[in-house]
Parts: sequence; C-alpha cells; structure tokens
Amino acid sequence: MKKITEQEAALPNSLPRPEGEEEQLLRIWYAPTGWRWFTAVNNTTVGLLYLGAAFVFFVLAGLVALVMRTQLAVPENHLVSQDLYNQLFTVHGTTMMFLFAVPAMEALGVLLLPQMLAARDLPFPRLSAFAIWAYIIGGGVFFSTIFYDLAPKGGWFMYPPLTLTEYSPGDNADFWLLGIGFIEISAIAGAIEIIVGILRTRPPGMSLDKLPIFGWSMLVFAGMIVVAFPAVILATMFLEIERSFSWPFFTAAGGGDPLLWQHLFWFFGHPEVYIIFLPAAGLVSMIVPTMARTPLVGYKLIVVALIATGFFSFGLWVHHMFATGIPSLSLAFFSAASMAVAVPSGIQVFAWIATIASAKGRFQLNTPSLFVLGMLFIFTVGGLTGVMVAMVPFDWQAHDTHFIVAHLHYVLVGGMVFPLFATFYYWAPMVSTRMLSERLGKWSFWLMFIGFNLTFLHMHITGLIGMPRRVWTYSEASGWGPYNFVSTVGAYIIGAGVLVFIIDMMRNFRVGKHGMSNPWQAGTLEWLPTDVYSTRSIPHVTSLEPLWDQPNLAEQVEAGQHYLPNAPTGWRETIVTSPIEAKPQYVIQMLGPGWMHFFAAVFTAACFLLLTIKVVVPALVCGVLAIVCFLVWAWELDKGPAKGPIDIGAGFKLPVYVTGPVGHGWWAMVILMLVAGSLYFAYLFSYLYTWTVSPGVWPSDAASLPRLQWPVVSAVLFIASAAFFAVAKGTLPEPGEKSLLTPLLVLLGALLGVFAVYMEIWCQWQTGLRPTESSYGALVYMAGVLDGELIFAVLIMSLFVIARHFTGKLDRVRFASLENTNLLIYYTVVQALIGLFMIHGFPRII
Amino acid sequence: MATSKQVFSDKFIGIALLSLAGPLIWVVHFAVVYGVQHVACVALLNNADFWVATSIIVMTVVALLALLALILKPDILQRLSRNRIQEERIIVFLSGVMRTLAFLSILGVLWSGISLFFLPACGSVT
Repeated sequence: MKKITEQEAALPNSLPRPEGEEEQLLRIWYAPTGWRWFTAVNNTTVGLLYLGAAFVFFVLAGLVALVMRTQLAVPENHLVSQDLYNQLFTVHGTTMMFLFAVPAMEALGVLLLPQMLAARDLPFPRLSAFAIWAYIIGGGVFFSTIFYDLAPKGGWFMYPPLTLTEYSPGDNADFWLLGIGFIEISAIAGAIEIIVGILRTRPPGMSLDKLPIFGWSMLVFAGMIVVAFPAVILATMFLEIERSFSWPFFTAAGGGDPLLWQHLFWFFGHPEVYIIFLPAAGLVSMIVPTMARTPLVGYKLIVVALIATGFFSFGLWVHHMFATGIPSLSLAFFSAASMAVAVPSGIQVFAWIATIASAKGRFQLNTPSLFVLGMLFIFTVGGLTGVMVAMVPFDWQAHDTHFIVAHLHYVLVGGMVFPLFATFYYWAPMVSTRMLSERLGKWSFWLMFIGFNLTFLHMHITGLIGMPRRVWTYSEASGWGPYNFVSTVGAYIIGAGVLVFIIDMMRNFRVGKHGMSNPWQAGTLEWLPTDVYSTRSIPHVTSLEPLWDQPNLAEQVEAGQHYLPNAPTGWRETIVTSPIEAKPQYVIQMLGPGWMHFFAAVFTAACFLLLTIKVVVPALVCGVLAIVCFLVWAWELDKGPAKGPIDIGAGFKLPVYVTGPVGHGWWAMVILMLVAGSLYFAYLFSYLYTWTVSPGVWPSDAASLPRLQWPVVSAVLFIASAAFFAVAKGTLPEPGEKSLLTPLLVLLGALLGVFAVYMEIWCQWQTGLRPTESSYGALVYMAGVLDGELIFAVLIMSLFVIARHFTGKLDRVRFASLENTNLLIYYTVVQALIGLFMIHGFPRII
Repeated sequence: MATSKQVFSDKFIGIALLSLAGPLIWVVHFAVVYGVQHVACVALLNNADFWVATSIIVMTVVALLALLALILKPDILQRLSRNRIQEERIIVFLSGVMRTLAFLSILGVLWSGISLFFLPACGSVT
C-alpha cells in the first residue's frame, strides 16, 4: 500500500490526456431529457427535483397557514368551518415537518454532497431517485386530501384516542398514517444513501478531520433518521392496525395506553427538530467562513457540538409530555437533557459569531449573510424560549398555548427556513448559469424577517394571556383580537417575501450543464468546475479548504490531472475510500438512468394509498409489481469483477468489485439492520411500557402461556435457518460452475425461517390468546408480525439469490447478493430470539 | 494489471464507538435511570424509593468515573488508532473529539443524577 505522501508527489499528473476521454465521460453521464427525464439519476437532476418539490410543499403549506391566519385575524370569524380548520392545521404541520423540512435537507444532501466530496455521484443513485419519486407521489396524494375533505384532523402528532376509529371515523386519519409511514421509508432510504456516501465516497486525502462541516451535519442528520424514524413507523403501524383490526394498543379498556403513542411519536418528534436544524447549522457553517474570508473558528468544537446535539436530542422526548402526569423525577431527567442540549447548540452559535468577528470587518453583507444573521437572531430567541419551556413549572403554564406556537416557529423558521434561503442564494450559482438578484434577495430577506417577527414575537404574549393552540375562533371578550390581527398582517408580509424570492427564481435561475465558477471565492470542493459527470477528475485533498490552500487545484482537476479522469469500465464510476483516512479502496460501478426505480416508487405508493382506502386486491397487485420492479433493478446492481483492476492514477490500481465489510453494499445492509434494530427496540419499549401501565392484562400464571417446548422449537428453527445460509456461502462454486447444493441450502434456510415464524404464531393461537382481546395479545402477535416482515424479505431475497445462481451470476467470487441475504437472516434470528425470550420468558419472570 | 497491494481498512466501527464513548455512556445512564425508576415504581411499590435512589446513585457514579477516565486517560483510543491509522493528526483529532464529547456528557449525567436529591423517587407533584 502506498503512503499518502507518494500520491501527493505523483499528482497532478501533467501528462496529456488521451483524446475522446471527456467525450466518453459526457456520454456515460448524460442526463436524459424529454419523457426519459423520469429515468434520470444524476444527483444534480434528482437533487434539484427533490429540492423543488420540497419548496412547492413549503409554499402550499404556507398558503394553508395564510388561510388559518386569516381565519384568526378577527374574533368570531366564520371564514372557514371548524372541521376544515382542524384539517388545515393538521395538513400545515404535517406538510411542513414531513414534506418540506426533512425532504429539503435530504435534497440538499443529494444535491450538494457529491459536489462537496468531489464524488461522481452518491453510491446508490437509483435509491436516491426512488426515494424522491416515492416522496413526490406520496406527498402529492397526501396534500391533495385537503381538497376532498379527506385530510386528517388530529394535528400533526395525531394523538389517540382522538385518532382512533371511534372518534375519527372515515379514511382521513388513515391517509396520514399510511402516507406518512410511506414517506418515512423514503426518508430512511435517503439517509442510508447519505451515510454511505459521506463515509465511503470522499476524495482521497479527505480524512474525517477534513470533512466539510455540512458533511458532518448530514452524517449526524442521517444517523438520527436511522434511530428516530423507526419509532414513528412502529407507532403508525400500531395505530393503523388498531384502527383496521381493533388490536388495542392505545385503548385503555383493552389494557392499552394512549400515552404509548406520545412516547413513540415524540421519541421521533423531538429529535426531528434537531434533524431539521443540524443540516441547516451545517449550511451556515459553510457560508459564514466564505463570507468572512477566514476559516471557521472551532471546527473541532462544532463537530463535537453536532454529535452531542444528535445524542442529547434523544433524551428530550418527554419534554413534550410534561403535562401528562408522569412522575416528577422522570420529568427531571428529561428537563436535564433539555438543558444539556442547549450547551452544544450554544457552541455553534458562538463559533459563528467568533468567525464573523475574526473577519475584522471583511465580512461581506450580502443576501446569504443577511439570512444567516437573521437566523442567528431568530434561532437564539427560539433557543432561549426553549430553555424556558424545558423548566417543568413554566411548561405547565405555557403548554398548548400560543406561546408554544411562537417558540416552535422561532426554532424551526430560525433554525431551518432562514438558513435554507441563505442556501438558495449562496449555492444557486453552483447549478445556475446566473446569480440570483442581490436586490430582490435583500427585499425578500427584509420582508421575511420583519414579517416573521411581526407574526410571532408578540405571539408569546398572546399565549401567556391564555390563547390556546388549535382553536378555530375566539370571543371578542378574550382580548386576543389585536394580537391576532397583527400576527395575520405579519404572515402576509412573510408571504410577500417568499413571493419576491419566487419572482427572483423565475427571472434568474437558469439550470445549465456548468454552474458559475466560484463566484463567492469559497474554499470547498463544490465550487470546482463541473459538468454532468461532476468533476473531470477527483482531486487529492490536503486541507479543509482545498480551493484556498491548494494552488491551481481547480485548473488541475479540470485538466484531468487528478484521480479517475476517465471511465475505464465504461460505466458510471466513483472512487470508494476508507471511512476514516479516506484512502482509495476500490471503484464502484454505478447504475445509470432506468425506469425500474421510478415504477417501484409508483407501485409502492399505489399499494400504500389503495390500502388506505381499503381496496385490498389492487393494493396487493401493486405491491407485487413493486417487488418485481425492485428485483429487476437489483439484478443490475452486481456487475462483478470482470473489468478490474483499473488504474485511477498516482499508481493506484483498484479492484472494481469487493465483498465483505469493505463493500458499500455491506455498509448499506448494516445500516438497514440498524433501522430494523431501532424499530425492534421501540417495540420492546412498547411491550415493557404497556406492562407497567396495565400489568393486569399480562398472564398471571405460566399455565396460560404456550408450553416452553414451542418457543424452543421455534428458536431451534430460527438458528437452523441462519446455519443453512452460513453453510450455503461455503458451498458456492468456482466462477463458471454451478452447484445444486447452494440454492437448495438457501431455499431450505428461508423455509425454516418461515416455519419458525408460523410456529411462534401458531403456539400462541393454540392457547386461545387473540390479538384483539388485550394490549398483551396485540403486542405478542406484533412480535410475530415484525419477525414475519423480515422473514418475508429474506424469502424474496433468497429466490433472487437462487435465480442469480442459475444464471451464472453467483459464485465464490461474486456473491454480494448472498452475503447481504445472510446479513439480514443473521439479524432476523437475533431479533427473533430476543423476541421469544421477551414473549415467553418475561411473563414467567414477573 | 495487478491490484494495489491490499484493500486498505481502518477498522472504523471500533474507533467510532470509542470516539463516541462519552455520549454512549450518557445514553446508557439515561436509559437505566429512567427505566429503573419507571419499572421499580410500578413493581416494588413500598420499597421503590430505596432501590430507585440506590440505582441512580450507583449508575451516576459509575458513569461519571467512566467519563472522567475518557478525559484523563485517552490512551485506549490512541492505542487502537495507532495500529490502524497512519496519520498522527487524525488520531489527535479523534482523541480530542472523544474527550470533549465526554466532557459534555458529564453535564448530562450530572444534571440527571442530582435531580434525585430534590424530588421524590416515585411521586408526582401534578
């Protein structure tokens, strides 16, 4: 292995590049147009689509907010009905949180990260494109429910018992549950892509201590999604199952507890605030040094602050449940975490201020800077009121009043919307051939800044004098009228600011093959010259701000004098580097444009939405078609080692195919297992929590439980299933040969897993336990459902592996598909064994 | 064409877990004190106060000692890293991240732990 200093010496390679090299890159990385545009996977194309869609949802949710503000402008107003108002605030909150904030940040990840990391693309381009189309279709259908009186009415948090069938009949709540569950899956797909992309596709030399802060923030953001989102997916599964099949997870009469929903929802919901804020903070940390013409003060401290905020934010969920009667000491733990999280947030704010101060007057006051300064003011006010509501006694006074509405808008608009607009103005030239207008930008900023504070600053007082949230109207005698009228005027001024921005975009935003050439004189790699293939060659990085510290880097990269200036395999490729030191490991052969990810998204969305309106058979047909699309897509993923090793420059000859812990597919599968593990952890929490609330519905003696022999048989079958897969890997034939033993072992392994799940459900059924009779029964059968889902995935993957074997695409060298299947079955078996211990062991212990 | 000598691997998971040891200790402390308090108050009824108090004190002391060890003795990460990472600068960076995270985690653990001295173990003031 070469030492890094040898590559530094070998680059730039000043030898002339062969003719036709760039033309080949252009041909391979073409971005489809016309009706084939739907097949595009280039990160700039799908990233812009993603960001554009998120912005459309922002505007739509903003218009909904204007209707609400108009309704509240004067007392006793009847502009909209009470029922429609309930739908409006539910759709506004849901759209802003699920369809705008998180997707906008993921979109920026897809759009900016490959450029910042000088990668040709993220490692799974079709996964990004799938996530985007799934989000657009699912989000579009969800939002449109407001026009058909089908929108949910339970608030963006959808608390039961209000959202149970008895109190929310019809399909409205189901649209939220299935729609949002589906969109969460899309977000998780994006998060997997982002984690693997940041850790494995950095340019050689960009060790973790040289990763741009936006990369760190997106890494923490994606890690938080992996841990937080499964909790709300499980919660939506519980609620939808209760609504559809009467399994009483949340019904007190059946031993369930509505507060279980709040625990699961806020375990996702509070980190969600930081999931939104951290990437935005990362963006600010990129903009401030450029505008201050000086490196960011406290890089290492900001990295620490991002990580610490990510962790501490998970200890805050009961922060939203202070008024639910939880024991005081429990509240104190969460109150402590609420204060602890303020420290790392403060570190970032002080680092930005210190960077601006260290510019000694060189700080450029342009539109991106104005939005950053606006963010600093607004977010700090939101943070201070956050510390206030972290104090339990104060929270009891302010809970569910307009004080909270003001607080959350200061946090979210300050922490995310203003940085996003700074981002629009700062990074627009990366993809647009023209800058956005400074004049219109400043108008937009001042309108939004003044409008925002006019709307929300005195709303703190409106709340403190008693106005509750989510009221449709109020009496004149309350005295809230003047405050609300001013808020409404402010809301329209915000709208005017956004309108000015839209006009600016229409006048000046022109997407071209080439963006502008580093108009801000920034130091990071996204400002290298690019084309559809991203950068002409992949640079060797030696500092945090390579464009400031490495002279002529842009010219060298554009002349193809760094790594991989060509396409030796004839496919889309990028370099995979080691996760800490960023040393070159191998070259990924990536998929180009295709229809399968698009149709997979269409059919998956159709399956979920048809299920929502209880059209079961067509829904199942769409589900099957979606699986077929996934399999056809996956068939092309594993291209094998035939075209390697290849020379990427500076003496590196890298393989184009690896398996095991070095491979990016292995990493994606491990992250997927973390998602599944997080979901199962939420299930175990739900089981134990429900027991603490209703121990009376748990079996009081072992006689009412299945005999121990049944879980033992089930456990043995699970372990045997994993063993069959492990042995199958050892029986793989040499390339070009076939072995009947391998597919036989794989099939038997999968069938043993299926039988093990069946056995577990069957033995419970034999005792007379039914999932509808109590929360205990519901949770017992839910364990089978969660294991069954994974075993179903293993079964499908096994059939895929067997098909690959018979077509000569699975052997001792080329076995990534079997390796990933094995990882999933190992995880499934561990999960199932823990579940068996919990279901059969815990009631015997208590 | 022969491949470069070997595929470089820097044992990411071990180094990452050690670098994040501070907040991970905070997570374990938080989960245990909240979990023990919640379960003990339901299951033990009259004896709960003693067990809740004891377990919170023990867990807090253990967590604080572990966090202090990370700050004062970062050798374990440095030893692991030196075998896997060639550049000293990266080891210093990761070690600094580990120690600062451990320091912030001390605040979280301490704030949670001391609340025991001001509030009843199982009662609610609502």
